Amino acid sequence: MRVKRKQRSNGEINVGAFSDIAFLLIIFFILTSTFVRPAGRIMDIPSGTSEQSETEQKQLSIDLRMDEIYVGEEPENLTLDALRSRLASADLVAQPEAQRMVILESHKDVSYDRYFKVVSAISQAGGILALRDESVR
Amino acid sequence: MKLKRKKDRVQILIPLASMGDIAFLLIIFFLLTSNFIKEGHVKIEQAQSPDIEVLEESSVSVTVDAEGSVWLQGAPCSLDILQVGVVALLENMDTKVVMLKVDRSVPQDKFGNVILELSKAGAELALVGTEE
Repeated sequence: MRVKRKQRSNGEINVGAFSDIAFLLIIFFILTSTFVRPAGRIMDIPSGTSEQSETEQKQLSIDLRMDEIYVGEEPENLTLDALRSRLASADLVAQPEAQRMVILESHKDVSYDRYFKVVSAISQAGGILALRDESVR
Repeated sequence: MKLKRKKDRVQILIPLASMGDIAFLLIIFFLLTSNFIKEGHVKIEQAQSPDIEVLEESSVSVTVDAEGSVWLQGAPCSLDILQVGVVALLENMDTKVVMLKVDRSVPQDKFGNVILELSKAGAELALVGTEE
């Protein structure tokens, strides 16, 4: 008697759906990825536990308040644009490191937006920021 | 006269198997080059300045939201443990850059302490903002 064999199914795996899944994953990654590089300013500050500088007299000091910006030993009220011009005229990049320091004292009610503008201007002019911590005094 | 049609038509098959390979290669590319947003749930309005530059992305980030709450790597963090947390994160890293994102309306008495704590942790601060 002749045994009738079952017809074997084709052994191929259908991989057509794989590419669909893969493309769905690509769409997911495209939607969740951030392609925009962050912008801002690197804040060049010395260590937070530094002692009071001996050369503080020669350094530019800024007293930042809600509506005013006082600059220098004999305080002079400047606008943000005037501060930029003042920093540019000080030619901080050409100065030795100790004299590039700009001492920034900020009042507690100053908003971050205003603070960020001043810090960016100092950094843009080549200044090294020294923060005055009231609690250390 | 009856026209004789060609019997053996060529069956057109587009091999799609390699499409999956290409797609998976693209996935691997995205996996290796993507930076996943850790603090997408923390909504802040960024500060603006004309004096900004493009920054290198750092994997350590600290955020201060409009209420003054501090977030380290997208998780809430108190000011008392911020320095320790940042030191631990920076320990095995080549760069000491920490991205600081602060809502533009936050007053200095809230973000000032964050900056001091990060400074004490030996971090190099990258203040994130947008162009005015």
